[in-house]
Amino acid sequence: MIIIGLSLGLFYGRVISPVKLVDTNPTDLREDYKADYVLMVAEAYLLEKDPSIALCQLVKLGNSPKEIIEQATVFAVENRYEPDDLVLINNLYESIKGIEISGEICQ
Amino acid sequence: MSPSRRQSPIYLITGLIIGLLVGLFYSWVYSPVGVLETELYTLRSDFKDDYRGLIASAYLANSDLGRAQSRLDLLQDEDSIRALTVQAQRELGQEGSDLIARALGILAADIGNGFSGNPEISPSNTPIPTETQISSPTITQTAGPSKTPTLTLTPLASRTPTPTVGAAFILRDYTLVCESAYQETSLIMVRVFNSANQPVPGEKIVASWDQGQDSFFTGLKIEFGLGYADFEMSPDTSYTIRIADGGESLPGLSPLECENDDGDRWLGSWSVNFTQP
Repeated sequence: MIIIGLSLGLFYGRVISPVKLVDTNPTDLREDYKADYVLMVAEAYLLEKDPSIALCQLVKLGNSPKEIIEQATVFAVENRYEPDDLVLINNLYESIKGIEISGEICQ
Repeated sequence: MSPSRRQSPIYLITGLIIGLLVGLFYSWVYSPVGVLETELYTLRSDFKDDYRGLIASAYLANSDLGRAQSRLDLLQDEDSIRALTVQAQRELGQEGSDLIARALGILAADIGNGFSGNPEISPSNTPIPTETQISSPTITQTAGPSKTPTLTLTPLASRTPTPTVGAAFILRDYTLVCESAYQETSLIMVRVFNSANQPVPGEKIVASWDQGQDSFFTGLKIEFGLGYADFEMSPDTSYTIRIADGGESLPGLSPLECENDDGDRWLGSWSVNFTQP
């Protein structure tokens, strides 16, 4: 009976009434959303030309903007993003790779 | 019937309940589905604002309306246009970024009108993340306010102009509006047109007075026209209105009293039109 109860509990908790997440953090976003987020930062960077703004937007996805862009680049290549978009992401990477993040940069 | 035979169903039920509880604990607490792969619409509201601002900033850069709309759809706002305009006004009210407020306003206006201000740029084929449960995109106009302007309502343009970089704006005309629909508040209602006489969204207007100044943007109340913006006057205060990008200014605007045939009195509003020569 324990096995039957366990099966019922799993079925109910996973299928009928799975956990509904609210108020989540960008760090937990799905990989494709994160890649698109990085692309948006790269697009906005075209306009703003301010690496500190781009960095502050990227750290919302995690502590290392460089790693975040690298992961997004891998995803973008695997999923055949447009060449122009890959160039944008690469330009963003080149612009921020030499910048160290300080605690005050995003205040 | 012996006592042991009467107890056996209880043990069975106890086992079932224990199994059920363990299963639910595992599903809801220990290893909930998809915790590390969340959807955009589950983001906290301030992160959603960041995301929306980023969508608008990216749109200013690439003018790809389809891409911007696809991204907005993923946030599952009930009304994307309203969400954009409300956030734009909040950005201005909380001394947020002028650029983001402007971007949000322009994106709202372009979605309302259904096309990009820069059609020469072809849409990208890069796949935008999709959420399979979302139905096909639906753009809904915001519900109009209870107060409906009865005068000089600017017809929607057939094309959305982007903020025009060109000649400085000049004052076309200004009139006192004494319609009873405006009795509750005394407004400065600004409309901005480009040289082709098309309304211009996203134009920053500055209202200054003795003790300070404030700014507001056209296009955030698209129900009144893409080039429309308004500002609420305080009694006994004289305002100067100008376009932030430069050009002619209009000083000396203050609430003036109106009166109808029945002797009712109220403070009127000013309608001010700027245009590029």
